[in-house]
Amino acid sequence: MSDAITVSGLNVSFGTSHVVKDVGFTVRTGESYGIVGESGSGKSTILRALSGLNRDWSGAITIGGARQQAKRPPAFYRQVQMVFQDPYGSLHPRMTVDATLAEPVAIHALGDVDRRIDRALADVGLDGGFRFRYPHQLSGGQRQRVAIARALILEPSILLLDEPTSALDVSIQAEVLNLLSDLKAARGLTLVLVSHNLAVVGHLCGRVAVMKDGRIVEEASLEAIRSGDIREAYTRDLLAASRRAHGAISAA
Amino acid sequence: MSNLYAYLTSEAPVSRGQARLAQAYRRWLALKANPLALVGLAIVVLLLLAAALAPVIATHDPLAQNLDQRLLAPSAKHWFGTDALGRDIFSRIVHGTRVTLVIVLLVVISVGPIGLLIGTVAGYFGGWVDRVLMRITDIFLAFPRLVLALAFVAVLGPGIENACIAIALTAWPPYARVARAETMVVRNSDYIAAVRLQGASNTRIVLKHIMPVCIPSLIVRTTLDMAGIILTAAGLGFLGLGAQPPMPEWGAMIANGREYIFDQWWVATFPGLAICLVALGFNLLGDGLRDVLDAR
Repeated sequence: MSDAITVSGLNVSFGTSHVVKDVGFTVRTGESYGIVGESGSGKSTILRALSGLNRDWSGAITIGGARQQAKRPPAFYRQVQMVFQDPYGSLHPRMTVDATLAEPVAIHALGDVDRRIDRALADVGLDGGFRFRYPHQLSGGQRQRVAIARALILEPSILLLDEPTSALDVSIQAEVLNLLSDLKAARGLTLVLVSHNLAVVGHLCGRVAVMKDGRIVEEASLEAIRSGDIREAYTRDLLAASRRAHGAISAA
Repeated sequence: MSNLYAYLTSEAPVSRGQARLAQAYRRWLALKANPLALVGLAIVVLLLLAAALAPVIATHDPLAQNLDQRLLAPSAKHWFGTDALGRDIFSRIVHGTRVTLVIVLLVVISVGPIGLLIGTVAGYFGGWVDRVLMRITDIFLAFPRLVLALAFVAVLGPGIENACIAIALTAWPPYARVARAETMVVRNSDYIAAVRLQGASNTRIVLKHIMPVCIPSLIVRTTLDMAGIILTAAGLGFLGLGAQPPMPEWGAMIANGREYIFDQWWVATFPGLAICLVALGFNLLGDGLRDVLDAR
């Protein structure tokens, strides 16, 4: 399998605080790669650098075989899309679902708007009745489905997920995670999932990087984590905390 | 009727048009729940009707002088009395609504877009663009509105068009500031990040995604500001720098009645009441709109 994303020597600083320190990892095409760590460990910052939202980084990022600069070409955005943490903040409050989904199609002049929107909504399990609603008429889970539909309407091969379930009710979390794993299977997506919750990462990802204070302290396969075959004490702590909060990871 | 209600309150609209109508209907319901806003709306509608139907409503020709009948007290024939040239004050006030509306509309049409554009561009791009645009705004803000308007009219010459230009030049800075503040709030929101991730250009983001967020607060600001605009226009008219005689402008009418204010109170009082009422109407409506449009 080829590599979808290769990162090496990635550093990000905001002013005097050095948030991401010399991070490197590789994600193979079609793989699901998880990044876990507590808040402030720099995991979301990596995602924002990958997506091109944050332009102040140094190091090397290669996506889809192309070395990425700070500014990305339009074609990049058809290849890589992102789903944000808070579905209450990631949908424009004054645009209907229809307008939100039509926007990427219009930007890339893809045409055939109606069919694309209907299909994108069907793909995330929303019927046509949702198409002309405003975000305030949707529940959190429905909003996150719309956000996923918006990311997928450009038919990207790589999907970046920034804590896609942490703002949702526990009952909805599983629903959204199942949707994501179905979509991944159906479309052969490469996923990069960032979360503070090992159970969530375990649900989707085969390989996990554990971050602490801006560094990746350990990279392990899901099997290794499940069997407790891990080197770092920090990972063990994280695992224990996650088990306490959500039950055994194998239940996921 | 119940069909229409179901259509407007449907939780699952089936077209863009229905979604928009339903949104408007929800806002109307919210506005309807506020009696003061309805009073404001009624006054503004009255103003619009009076302006549209001025020739029908007016009992006399607003410009016809009749020196035999000068300074008559209010009576059945002249409801608000007559002025120093024997013109019917009621008719002049009714026709004056047109002048007032023209001034308000000209100012709003020119001020809104300028303030919106400068504010959103400054707020979105930040850095030196922001600094340059905001310092220019500050310079205009530093002058009291009427004084700056006076200076412009002195240069451009008196007249209603120049009064409008003068008011517009002094009225845009607060709009730019409001728009900039709103823009700074939403600039780093996830939904703007999401369109950026779709490859949208800066122009597209500002025009299609940031401006719609700023427009409601600008509408509120404009409605609240209309009272001030009307007062400034009346002030310029009072000073003889706005509308020129014999045009029935309310500020100029007050100025004409000033000499007779103790003996013939009606000459200055009725145009004054008209200004008061219209300014109050716009203020009440603006307050109501703020509650309706800001609710998210």
